[in-house]
Amino acid sequence: MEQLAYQYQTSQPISKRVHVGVVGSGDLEILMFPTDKSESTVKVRTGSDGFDKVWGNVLTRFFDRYPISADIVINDFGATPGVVYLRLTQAMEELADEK
Amino acid sequence: MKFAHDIVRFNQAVIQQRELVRQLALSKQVFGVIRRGLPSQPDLVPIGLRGIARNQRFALEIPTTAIQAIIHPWEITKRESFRAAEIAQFPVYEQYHVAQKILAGFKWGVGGSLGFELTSGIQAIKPTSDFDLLLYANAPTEIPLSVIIKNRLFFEQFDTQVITLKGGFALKEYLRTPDKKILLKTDTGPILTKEIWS
Repeated sequence: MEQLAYQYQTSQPISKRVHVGVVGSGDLEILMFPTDKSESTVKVRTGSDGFDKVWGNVLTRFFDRYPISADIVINDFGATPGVVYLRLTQAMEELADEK
Repeated sequence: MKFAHDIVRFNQAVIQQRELVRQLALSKQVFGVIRRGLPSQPDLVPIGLRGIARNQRFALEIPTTAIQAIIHPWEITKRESFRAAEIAQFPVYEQYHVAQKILAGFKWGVGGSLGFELTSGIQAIKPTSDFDLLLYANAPTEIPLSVIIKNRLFFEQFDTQVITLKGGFALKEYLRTPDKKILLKTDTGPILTKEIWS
């Protein structure tokens, strides 16, 4: 079990809490909370050790595309980078969903 | 027919990576788990071999013709492990026994290390092993929803994957947001979709 932390300077506040994904084999859950700051913090709790750099790459790619400001918690259970990116995309769809 | 999570038996002579055979101390009869995915050639099957350590998996492909037997996860749900007394108190084994009672009559299966042990007779589960429950359903009505609701706390304890003709998804995600896109693991990779049935 490893805890990783990342920080990004961002510009687009989110307006609501979002929860996508599940803690299950090869999957992960993402929680996003609104913040007043112009930055995003990401805490990754992962069962697969030694993927610090891979996480950094996936998150940097994500924030380059979506510079949202939020406090984000990711609980990972061995998801592949492909699944991680799908779940992040799903969180963005949730944010855009008016319901 | 072959599906992801099925276990296949084959002769270790077909494994070209001889180093792997030594490393895993494979006996003549090898059991592998069919992986979800498309093979690089139509006459091959993508499988995974279990390592000694937890989460250790070795992916490879074997020729379809090398398969001597296919065991589906739903065919082993009445079996007991060859060391049933020794593992009777393991949470995974206790959960399996509960599932046997409450899911009688439904099409369900056991994956993961327990499914492997029940199928192969090779020691695989540990006190910390997770119970991997598989529910086979081709329509929403085929999910044993009343059983799940009645035993909500039981189903909270482990991962249940629902297997449809299109792929597999997490029961927990489906129950939380049945009308939204969910993650479906398909042969061509994971996708977010509402088209989970057919």
